[in-house]
Amino acid sequence: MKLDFQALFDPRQVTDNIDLLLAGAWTTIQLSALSIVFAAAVGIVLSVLRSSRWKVVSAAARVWIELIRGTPLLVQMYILYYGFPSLGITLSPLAAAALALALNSGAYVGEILRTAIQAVPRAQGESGRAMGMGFIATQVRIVYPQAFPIALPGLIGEVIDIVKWSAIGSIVVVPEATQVVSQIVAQSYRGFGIMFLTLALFYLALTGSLAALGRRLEKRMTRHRMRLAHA
Amino acid sequence: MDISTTQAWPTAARAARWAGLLAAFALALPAHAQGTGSCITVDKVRAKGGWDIVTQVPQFEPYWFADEKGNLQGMDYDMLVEVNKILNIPTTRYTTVAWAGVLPALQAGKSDFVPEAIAVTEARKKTFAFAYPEGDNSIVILTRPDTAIKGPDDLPGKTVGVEIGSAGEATAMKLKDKAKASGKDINIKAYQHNVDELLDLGNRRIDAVLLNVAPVTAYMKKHPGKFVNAGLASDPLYAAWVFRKEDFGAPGCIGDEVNRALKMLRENGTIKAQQMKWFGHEMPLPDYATWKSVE
Repeated sequence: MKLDFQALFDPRQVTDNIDLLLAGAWTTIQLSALSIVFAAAVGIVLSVLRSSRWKVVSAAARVWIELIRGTPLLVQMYILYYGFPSLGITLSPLAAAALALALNSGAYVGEILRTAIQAVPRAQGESGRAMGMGFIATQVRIVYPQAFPIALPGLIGEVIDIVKWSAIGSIVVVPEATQVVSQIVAQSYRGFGIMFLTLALFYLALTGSLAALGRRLEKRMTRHRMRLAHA
Repeated sequence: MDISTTQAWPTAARAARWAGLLAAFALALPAHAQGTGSCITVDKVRAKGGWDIVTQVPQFEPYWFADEKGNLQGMDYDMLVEVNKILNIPTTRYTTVAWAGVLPALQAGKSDFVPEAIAVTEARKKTFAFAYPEGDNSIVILTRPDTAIKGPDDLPGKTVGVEIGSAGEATAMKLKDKAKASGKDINIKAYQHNVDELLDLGNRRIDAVLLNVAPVTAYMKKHPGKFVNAGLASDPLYAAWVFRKEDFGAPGCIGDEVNRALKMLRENGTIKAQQMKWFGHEMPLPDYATWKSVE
């Protein structure tokens, strides 16, 4: 059999459908951004609940985290989108996808933040209190600024994961980049080589810039250490 | 896509195809040793012990579906059993995937052919070959009684669900273009599986589903009174099994052999009996003598 390479890598498939592809790319960016913001909120709340002195609260937060981390994102998204209408809650595709991504990632973010806070030596907080600072002031001005750089590499990993996992938004009919590409390919069966290659490059560009941004942020936040090292 | 495993692949033909695909990247072309114009022969299929089929998850009742225990069944399943008896092919090994992956898998040589009722459309005929049709596969509009949709002219301004890569999707695109020409629009939502868009029609997220008549009829029977068939979305379409074009054209090629078997099954009344068994009525078929599998 003769494989038609020309057809497999027909660049016109990309140029002819550029409007659709850009719309899909934009939807992916929107879905990712929305999910990242909500995941951060969920993560902060979970890390606080998880560190609570009330055992019931921290245990409940732990059960929730295990529940989320122990089930596939695909299943969670399916339940939110297709299952919830039977409870009277009908979410839009974008809302269901973003919520599933945020709840899922938020569970990991919560643990990353909690362990980062625990990694800050206790003496730091105690010194703050000894200087006469209140609990909240100590947390905000002493503990969190030291915990954040510790958490940052893990958080960047989560952000990148959200961008990549946004591709499964297509199962709940979000017209994001992966869905647009599979739709175009399925219509004509032309150029699926170049289409998926383009798609992969798009994700790579997105995750690559986020990683670069993260590295800059990390450098900025740890420059006091650098200065010490060079002194 | 692992180059090393292609060596161990049981059939030279499939290995050649995969290697051919990889060659697009590596520019190593000797895998085309088979030469052009060659086809998979029935002898080759017998030698490897049976068909290797990649097809849709069984959600196309009554052509192709599974019972609650997961046993595959339907008119397509029965028909292939009959064809296998005639062609003396011992087994069929099925792999099921989302619909959007089925025809690309065929194109990439991962499936011998696709023995599922597929709507014969002009766009698909450009790339694929269709065996003799086995029944009707027209696209109809499934809706709820409250939407007041009575036919394709009522679709502008509405939200329509379709399966990615389906004839229903192609029909919806055409209707959308037509609506746009007169300053209106149809909002199309693309799903991975038929069951999902049917679920969303029930959830009232969408107003209608454009889907083949067979699964629509089966679905309405399962949910009496909840849905309405608002009739043909466009011109009627036949249902036929699909092949790669190069698997037709010489005696012994699987395309020609399956067609020969289908002709026998039509002449001895098996196709009609199958239609009666699964649909309860006879469906019109074209004249096989003038049917062009390869265009």
